[in-house]
Amino acid sequence: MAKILLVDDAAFMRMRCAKLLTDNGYEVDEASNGQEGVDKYMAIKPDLVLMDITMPIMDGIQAVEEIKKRDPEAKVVMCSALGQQTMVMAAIKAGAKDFIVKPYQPEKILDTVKRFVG
Amino acid sequence: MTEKAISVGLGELHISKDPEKVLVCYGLGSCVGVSFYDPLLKLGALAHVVLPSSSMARVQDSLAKFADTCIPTMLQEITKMGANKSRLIVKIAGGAQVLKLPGQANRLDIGGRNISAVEEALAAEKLVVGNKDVGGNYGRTMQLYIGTGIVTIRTVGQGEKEL
Amino acid sequence: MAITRGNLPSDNIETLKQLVNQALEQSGRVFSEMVGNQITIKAPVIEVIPLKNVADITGGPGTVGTGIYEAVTGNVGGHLLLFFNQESAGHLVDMILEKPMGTTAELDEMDISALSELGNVTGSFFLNAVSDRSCMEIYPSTPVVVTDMIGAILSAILAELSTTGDSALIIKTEFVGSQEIMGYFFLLPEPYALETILERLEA
Repeated sequence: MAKILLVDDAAFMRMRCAKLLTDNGYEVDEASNGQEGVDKYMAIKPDLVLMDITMPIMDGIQAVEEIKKRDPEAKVVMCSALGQQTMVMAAIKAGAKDFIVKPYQPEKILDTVKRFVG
Repeated sequence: MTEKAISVGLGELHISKDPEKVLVCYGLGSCVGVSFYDPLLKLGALAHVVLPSSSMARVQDSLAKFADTCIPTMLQEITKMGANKSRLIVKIAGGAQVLKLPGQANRLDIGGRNISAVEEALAAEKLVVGNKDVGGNYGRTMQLYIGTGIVTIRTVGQGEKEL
Repeated sequence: MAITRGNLPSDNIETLKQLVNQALEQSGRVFSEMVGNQITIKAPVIEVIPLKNVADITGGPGTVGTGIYEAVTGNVGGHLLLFFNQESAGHLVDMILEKPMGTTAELDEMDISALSELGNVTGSFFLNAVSDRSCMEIYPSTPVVVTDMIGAILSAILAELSTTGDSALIIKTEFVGSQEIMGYFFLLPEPYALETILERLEA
């Protein structure tokens, strides 16, 4: 069973996403800011990370950089409402594999997850 | 209630001896409401302080907007109308931090600085604060009833109480 | 030059209106998508008004409601606030969390998180549109959700803005839906922010 780490400061988003993914047979872990996301990544080595950008303590872009530094093979997909061109570029540059623009759309999330971890 | 409410807006100062009137600072957040009341003359003043120091002032700003200029001005105006400084009952309310951004606690904390500045300015005039209801993370509406000198504080969570 | 009444030429106001309309259209679409109900964001009113009158827009500084606030940072700065009366805030939560209409009165942690995400998505889409048109980086902060008097919610923002000007440019619009949703969208740019944006648009 593929392991997915959700990093989002909004409890509401984590709840929705976690339900969707567990219902579809994935194992899910959660973190509520970038720093926690990096720590959890190292602890559980998930197959894929879904990462928000706008978060307190450490934002998503910085968190991707930190994760990639520790594990260059890490698969991280951004999941943020901040779909402006400069931000998408920054995310890709930081090492993100893809960028899902919020709001929450179950099909889009499932499609992307399937593409990366089957 | 027959009293007539007079709204004291941002940076404003109102003085009244009309017993029918109630001076009100609506929705004080980081701002501080300061009331002076002379019980013998039934004369009261209410100011709505926005910022701590007049060093932040711009040309067209009112003196009541800043703690350091508001207090002396208020004292001067109310004594001009006959109030006796030794009789003044002083109350303050407000200075909250309603918006606290996660991870940037100090960014919008003007409230705390406003309270200190008002207290310093009062001390400099040797005025003692009778009662106060300051700080916290919620807004307050402060009312001064000119007829009785009663000051009330209204909040969203706790309703209205006398200060 | 800071924004004061009258020094923003009318063709600039037109350019700005166009930009804001486009941006709000994006926000409105995504807002509706998120609450799962058709919510229209009305054509905005763009006004330069004295800071001390800002709170009057919602019916006076003592008006109680729920605000979703985001600080705007990046190439230009400002403040973004969605403000709903308490009943509307409850209705929005009901719609997002798919609860029967009228269930939510007091907001619990999950309700606040849902409103926070609504603010995040709405604010981000608005700023994305402005950013893409002006080629600037403009980001919202993590939202803060608070139920209080509008005067109290705005007070620190107005105090900060009042150190550099007497008036603020307000973009005000209303949310209207099949369910009673009454709310306002405030955008209070820092001084110079508009000039910077306008220069970029013209360039």
